[in-house]
Amino acid sequence: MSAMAIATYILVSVFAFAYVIFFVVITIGGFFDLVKLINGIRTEVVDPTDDGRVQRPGA
Amino acid sequence: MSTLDWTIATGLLIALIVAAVYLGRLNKSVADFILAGRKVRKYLGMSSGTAEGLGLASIAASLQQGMQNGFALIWISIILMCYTVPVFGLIGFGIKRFRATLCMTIPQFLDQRYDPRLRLLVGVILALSGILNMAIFPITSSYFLVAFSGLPEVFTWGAWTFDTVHVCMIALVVLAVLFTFLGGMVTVVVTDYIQATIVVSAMLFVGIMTLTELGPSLIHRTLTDEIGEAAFNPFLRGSYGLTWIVWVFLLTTVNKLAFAPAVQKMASADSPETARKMELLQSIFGMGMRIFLLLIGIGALVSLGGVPAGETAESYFRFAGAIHLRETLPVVLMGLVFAAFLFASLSTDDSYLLAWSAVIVNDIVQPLFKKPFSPKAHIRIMRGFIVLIGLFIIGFGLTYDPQESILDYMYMTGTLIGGIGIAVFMGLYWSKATTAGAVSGIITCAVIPLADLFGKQIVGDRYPLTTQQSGLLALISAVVVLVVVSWLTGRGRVAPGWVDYGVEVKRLDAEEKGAR
Repeated sequence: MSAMAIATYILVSVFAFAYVIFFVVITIGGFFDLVKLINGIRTEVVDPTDDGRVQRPGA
Repeated sequence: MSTLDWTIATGLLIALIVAAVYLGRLNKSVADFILAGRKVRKYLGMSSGTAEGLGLASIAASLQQGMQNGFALIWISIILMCYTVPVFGLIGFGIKRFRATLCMTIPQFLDQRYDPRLRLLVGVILALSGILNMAIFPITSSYFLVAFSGLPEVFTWGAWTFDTVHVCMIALVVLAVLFTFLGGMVTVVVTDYIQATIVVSAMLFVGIMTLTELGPSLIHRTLTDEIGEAAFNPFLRGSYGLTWIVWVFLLTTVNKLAFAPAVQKMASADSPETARKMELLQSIFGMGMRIFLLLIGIGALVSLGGVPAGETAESYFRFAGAIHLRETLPVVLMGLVFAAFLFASLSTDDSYLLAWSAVIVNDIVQPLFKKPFSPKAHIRIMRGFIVLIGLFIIGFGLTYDPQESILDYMYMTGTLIGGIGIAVFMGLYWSKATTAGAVSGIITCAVIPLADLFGKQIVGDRYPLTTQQSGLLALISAVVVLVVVSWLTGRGRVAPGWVDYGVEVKRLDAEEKGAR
């Protein structure tokens, strides 16, 4: 097996393992963020001017 | 697919629709509809960004890469990561400043920084190139889904005969329109999270199953026999050189602040620091996902073998991954993977529909009226455009000829926007960038790739530049033209619309640290 092939397999194994751990963390974290988003939108104070308009100084 | 598989896929889809209906009721303002009230935190934003970037077309392309080039693409991703992680993920170059502007769209920033007329021009370019770019996704996804599920090419209902691919494509567009129409970004971000969880779990499971069933030694032997050393070394075939790498680095940079769906996700973050973290996590996460998709593609190569006699590589590899999965996945997992593929298609399409309708309404329609729309009217008009874009995509899909090169098509529609990203970066970091400079840069960056595409159609191989050289020349020329024209027109003075958002970023970062 060539050095490049060995390096590739090591890289693939490390990233694949890290990815599985990462996925679990992000899925759990994402669920809590989702709950916070829904609560935040429910209780927010709406700014009707925040709609994409550009307000220039003095206008 | 068995009845149980169809039941699983339909059940998951119905659950997602119910969630979308519930979430749609939460919208109270335009900022909620377009940016989820700028309340998206890092993990949710990252999941949603992953779902948007992981369309069915990308999955199909990665499977194809695995079959054709083995693991070679991993090294290209590593080289790119060595650049994107420090520049965007750790420093937050461009990302933090753009989030600090509180702009909803790219043209809004260009209006604020340069000139209101630039908003209209850029809005039109972005919307046209973006909608044409996304129009190809549902029909290509539909071809893949039909190949995967093993549905017949045509089916009859009473006296009528229908093309399955077209019916599937219409269903994909209708569902994407439904999600976007119901609740805007709130629905998109939450359903994207659910979709990302299902897609990633399914791909992880299938990847691990491929590895355990085939075994590392058979995989290595097949890669060595079919592809050789090029399965591990991307530079052996000579397709990636220094020009290609520099071009991709520059393109990745400018597209960070030019591609509206990604910018919209960034703008919906709850702070500039969150936007940076989302980018960091997404870069690393995308790499891991690619490994599993390549592995599934390699699994297809092991079980199906190389290109059979009488078939072209392009036509064989395009759907071989789907056929391999259809033939190897057991019942239940088949239904779950079908749902995952369906959601991968929907999560990309709904994000794009929302982004392009926001650009059309905020940057093209609204500026034509003297008075701002009421929030209700604003959202209603956006919903109208979401439906119209959906109808256009259906019309496009029904007349689309799959014989043409998808890559060329994507290249033409995608590279038009590179100059817009350069104008945004310069507007954020250089106080002396002027409107004339920005317009010249945008036009330069659009003309060179178009000349390349049309020139090659006219003179063929006699065209003096390769695609990579044209792409690199366009980006470098756009920067040079923007700087020179800005110096000539602004005469070294600070431009009128200049605001140093670096100061605002520091203030918001300090506020966030204090709150912790």
